[in-house]
Amino acid sequence: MTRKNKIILSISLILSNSTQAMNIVNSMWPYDTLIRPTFNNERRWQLAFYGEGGFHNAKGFNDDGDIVNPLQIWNRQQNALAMLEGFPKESPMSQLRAELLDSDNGIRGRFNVCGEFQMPYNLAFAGRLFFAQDWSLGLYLPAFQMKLKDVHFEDLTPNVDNLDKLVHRLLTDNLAENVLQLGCLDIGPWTRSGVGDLVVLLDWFRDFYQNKPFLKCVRVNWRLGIGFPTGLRENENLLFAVPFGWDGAVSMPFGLGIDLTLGSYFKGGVDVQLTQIFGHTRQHRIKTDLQQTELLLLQKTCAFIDSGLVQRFNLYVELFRMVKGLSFEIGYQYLKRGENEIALKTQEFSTNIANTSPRLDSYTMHHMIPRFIYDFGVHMPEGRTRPELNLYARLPFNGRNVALVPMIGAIFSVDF
Amino acid sequence: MHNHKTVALNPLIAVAVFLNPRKLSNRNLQLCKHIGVAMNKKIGISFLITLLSLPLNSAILIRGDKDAPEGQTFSFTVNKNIFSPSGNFYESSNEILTENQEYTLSRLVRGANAFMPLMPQTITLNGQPETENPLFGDKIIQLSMLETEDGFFMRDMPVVVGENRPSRVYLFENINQFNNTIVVPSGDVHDATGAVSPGIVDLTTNNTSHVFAAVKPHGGEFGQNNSGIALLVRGTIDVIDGEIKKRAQVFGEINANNGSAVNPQALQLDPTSPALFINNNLAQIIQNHAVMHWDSILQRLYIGLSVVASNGATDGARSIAVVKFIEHGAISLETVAPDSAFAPGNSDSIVGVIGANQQLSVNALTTMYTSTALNYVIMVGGNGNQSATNNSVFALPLVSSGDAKGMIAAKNAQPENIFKDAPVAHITSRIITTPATTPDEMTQATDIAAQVGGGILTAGPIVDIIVRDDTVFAFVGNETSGVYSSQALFDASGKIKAWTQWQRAAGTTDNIFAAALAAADGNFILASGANANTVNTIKKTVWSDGSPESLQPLTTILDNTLPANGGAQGLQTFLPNTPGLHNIALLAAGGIGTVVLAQTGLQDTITGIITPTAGPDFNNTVSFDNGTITNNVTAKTVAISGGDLDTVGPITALEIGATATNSWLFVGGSNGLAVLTHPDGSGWNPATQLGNSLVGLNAGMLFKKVSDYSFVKKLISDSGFLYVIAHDKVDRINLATSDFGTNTLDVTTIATIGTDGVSTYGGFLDGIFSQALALVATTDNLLRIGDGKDIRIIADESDAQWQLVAIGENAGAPTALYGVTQTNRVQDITKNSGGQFYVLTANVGLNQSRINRFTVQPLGATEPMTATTVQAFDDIFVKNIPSFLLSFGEFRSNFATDGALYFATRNQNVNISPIAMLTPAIPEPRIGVSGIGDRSSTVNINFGSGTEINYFARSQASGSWIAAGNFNTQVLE
Repeated sequence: MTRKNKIILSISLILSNSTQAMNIVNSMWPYDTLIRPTFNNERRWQLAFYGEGGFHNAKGFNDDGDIVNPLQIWNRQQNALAMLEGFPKESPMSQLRAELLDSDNGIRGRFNVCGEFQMPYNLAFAGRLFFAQDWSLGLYLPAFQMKLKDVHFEDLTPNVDNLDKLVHRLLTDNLAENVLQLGCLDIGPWTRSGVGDLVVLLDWFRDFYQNKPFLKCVRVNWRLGIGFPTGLRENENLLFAVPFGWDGAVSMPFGLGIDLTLGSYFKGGVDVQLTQIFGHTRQHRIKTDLQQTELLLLQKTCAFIDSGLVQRFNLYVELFRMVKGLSFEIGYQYLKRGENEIALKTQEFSTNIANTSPRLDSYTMHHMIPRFIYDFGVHMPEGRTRPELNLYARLPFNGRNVALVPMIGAIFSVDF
Repeated sequence: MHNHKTVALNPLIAVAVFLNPRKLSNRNLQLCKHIGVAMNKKIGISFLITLLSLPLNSAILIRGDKDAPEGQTFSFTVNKNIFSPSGNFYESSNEILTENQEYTLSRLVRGANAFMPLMPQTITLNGQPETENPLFGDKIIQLSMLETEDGFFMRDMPVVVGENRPSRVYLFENINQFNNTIVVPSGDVHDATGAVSPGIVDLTTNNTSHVFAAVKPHGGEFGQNNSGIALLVRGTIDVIDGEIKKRAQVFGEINANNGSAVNPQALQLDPTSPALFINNNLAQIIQNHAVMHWDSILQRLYIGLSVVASNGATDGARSIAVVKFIEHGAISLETVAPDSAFAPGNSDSIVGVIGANQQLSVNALTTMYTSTALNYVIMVGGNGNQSATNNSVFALPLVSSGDAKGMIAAKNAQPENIFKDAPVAHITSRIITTPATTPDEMTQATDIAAQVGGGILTAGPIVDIIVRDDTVFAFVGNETSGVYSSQALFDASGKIKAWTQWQRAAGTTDNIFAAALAAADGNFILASGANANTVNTIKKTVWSDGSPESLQPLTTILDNTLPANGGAQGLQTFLPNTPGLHNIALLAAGGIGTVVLAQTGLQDTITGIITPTAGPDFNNTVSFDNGTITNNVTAKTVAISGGDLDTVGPITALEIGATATNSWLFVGGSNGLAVLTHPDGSGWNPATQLGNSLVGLNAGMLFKKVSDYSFVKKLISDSGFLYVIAHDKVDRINLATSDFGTNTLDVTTIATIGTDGVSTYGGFLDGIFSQALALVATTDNLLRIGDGKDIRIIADESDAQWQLVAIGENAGAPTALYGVTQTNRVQDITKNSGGQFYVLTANVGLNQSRINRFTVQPLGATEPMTATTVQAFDDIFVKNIPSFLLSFGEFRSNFATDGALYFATRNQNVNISPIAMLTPAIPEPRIGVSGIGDRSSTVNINFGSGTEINYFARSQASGSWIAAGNFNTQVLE
């Protein structure tokens, strides 16, 4: 194999596995302005290595904002009876549903589902090239590991009368086998690792120094980038196997920020980033009936997804170089993705019903992000390199329709 | 200035003009108010009291006047009554009243439990306010009904004849306000010569504008020469009031022969009428007896008489005459069948006869517009005198289009579907155009298709009949009194091929002299008394725990005996003709580990009529545990629990299986099949048992689990076999060669999942087995045994050669089958003249359900299945697209009909309580009429906290509807 072919193959593999971070879970976003390394624009290159780990299982936040198990963010209970509805009459699903008679009394076929969702680690590599005084070009590639453990389907179906027993015997007692056979859906645990979406980001920034008693400098920046669908995509055959990026979609982030330097030791700023995710077509699990619940969808079909706009807002304040090169920053991050829409590529099922899926609903996340930054450059101002160490935590405290893992991480960067 | 006038259009005609009472002068209005207040206080209080006293235990007594003794509705006797198309029931006095005269005519509004008086002392008569009411306290001898649009609703307008003026018709133009009742008299009606008639013997209307009165001839009795049909019209005319021209309502008699308002004259109907006699004038029309019915579909008036032919051998008579409208609003008399349709000496032609002094009778008459859109005349009577024919009910087909419209149709004429001439050819009607013109074409009393009830109603003389959709209800006041019904069975073309045997309806054994079916609610309104002249009690059936005199003790036993957490998981009723029963009707209910058997009726061995078990007798109860009977039973109710009943799971299926020497009770549940047997495997003796008081259930019999079936859906016994429809297979168990003592069963599996389109995830849901016929409803489709095959002798599943039965425009899987047969036992669907069955197709996910119909042709005792044994009804909406009868719009899991009422039920749906729905009163289910099922309304049944309706059907013993599940059993009686 020639070197050229190897490169093509490598790129192909990366692309085929696809996607970048940020989904209903708070996987790392390496160009997030609240965690990415600082720079002083005195060197041409910056390389950064990110590493963070979840120190607790994910907490789920449902549509009401209540804290729930991550597997309950869309539905408090899963409905195995509705799972069988909305299929062609002669299908095994419809036949099984017919066999279960008029049994849906609101209790039968229902499951309390819980499991432990973990993100043991998120890694990322970033490289930035500074040029033309006010510009930089960055390349960001994250990688993740996620786990779903201890999945437990608690069958709520009573076992008293005939219909109870019918539902037990034919459906719920063998739920895992049934959903595997009928919908190729594995409701067991899993561990998945892979890269996220590769993002190339062009930044512009400029410091406007102020000759004022308190306000010393105003830095204005904007950025525009493109996200390539290199991230691991959602595995629709596994439970809650969320994508590691935008699930095969090309994205285009655009951000705008302002940072203020107040006196010698204080900084603060605000940053807004909007990400347009371009529509794309791929296989999805869809609802075929209004009553269906998200974890028990048997039908996969090709569909076009028109994603909602992702809005991210950052606010921060910073004690700048309070002790030598040590700074402390605390930030607040709000992220919202708008509602997705799905358009089925088949006439066999209803697009309207498919669009009632709560996973298409908008979601929000709220994080507090404290960060310590140590700029080793203060000890060697004339050195060829400027190392920097960031220690931070991403602490989710609220949200809707998301599963959030509290993360602690470190970033080591070198400017040269 | 007076703004109410009487306008004499002719000295001989008094045509009343009644202007809008709102235009009364202020002075008159004040007076009306003054009188009204006094009247209102008295009536209002008593009315409120009666409205508020609403017992809901069984058929409720409707309250009438305040002086009525306890247990009666009225303190006086009543007779003439009518049920209006709007759903109101009107009753009238049968005697001159000196007290409570305001109840001379009274109305039971739909949904109410008390009669409202309609007869104020003063009324607006002929536009004259505060006029003495001539009918106040009178005996009402005729009562009929017109209706008119009133805003968004229809307004009833009773048409009344009182004994004091027996030749005058009073139109109650507006009865909305008691104190402002507007009445218009017709003036005395005239006979066929134009002379004033001495009286009216029957009265009916065409509902909208015309009143037909059978009138006596001047100086004579109805039936004598110059008797006739007087025609009265309600319409509008222009009236000059001063200089102002106004439109005014008029009501009066016209000349029936030419439609003129002058010289009113009745249409001649007497022994000289050619429509009645054959060859020579009739010898006689039985005096003062006429029954009339207006058919609004055919636009024909049918008049039934009792007639005697003249004394020549070629003289004959017809007992039914037909009246139709001709030009200028006049009417003419038509023959119901030509002379050539009757053969001399044939005394089976029902409505016609040729022979000296032959007599024909029509005691009651109505028409039927079937769900298959064909017309029939239904009559009580036939060849013979009135008393000899008062328990025979016949159905004769009618020509529905063409020149012969309204005449008796040729019995072998095939219906023709008429479609709209459009790209989408919707069906507009189904017609028969060929009249019966020869004796061979004429329906005979010996024709099975003509015999409503399968023959005479042996319960007693039929007082009257009512028809709804496909069912005839007959009420009997004497002997074995009550209400009985018979449902029409159809062939594929929609023609009636037979009738179900008479069975009880309405859950009553009272002496019923009048009845109405309030189809919007499914309730019967029943008028009873000691005899026809002492009717004073009006009751209405309601859903409840039952009547203490009827099923309430049984429902209480069921509720208390069957475990509360599951209630009645399965329920089945058995008629006395069930092999293994000896003259008793049986109800068997299964719960979790418990079975209750109750004798619900005892059949008279001579008349064949079932007398329902009296309520208190159900309390003659014995209970056994450990699944074993320890004493010989002589009780009306038996409860058995424990033992192997605990191992079969919730009991959902119950059946009596019989051979020539043994009978057993089989029960099936989620875990298998158990049989009630002696330890040696023998059952009870079917020749004599089970008998009255459940004799035959002897000490030592016990339930033995005989097989580990998975979810037994249904058990069906036929021809010495027990067919077990389980979730995953259908077995045929040969009862004669099986030994339940050693648990050695002769089993042949005749269907399994994974074949014939049935997914391994699906299964079997229902079935019908009758002689060689096998029908199995699966989660995929409806299957029948192959042509040339006999389910009793096939060797195995492949030998059955199952074939698909296409269900046109179905809603999903056929979830249940509902058979209707002449004997009312589904296993007889291939016997006698065959039967029919309904298929409920449903899909939960698509939230839809529909009813399709199939007819079953008879098979000989050893005849195998044929390609034409099962045929879909010609139910269509669009040409060449077989379709359904009813679509419920939403998912329904159970269906029940007696041919008149169409119920559909659904269990609790997530957080929506279980519901039972009933199709609307109008329109009735019929081919080509869409949206009927969708317009079903909720039936007021108390399901408590229950979630499942596991049984919904009419009791074949009492005629009460029964709803059972995990709630207190509810009955409509």
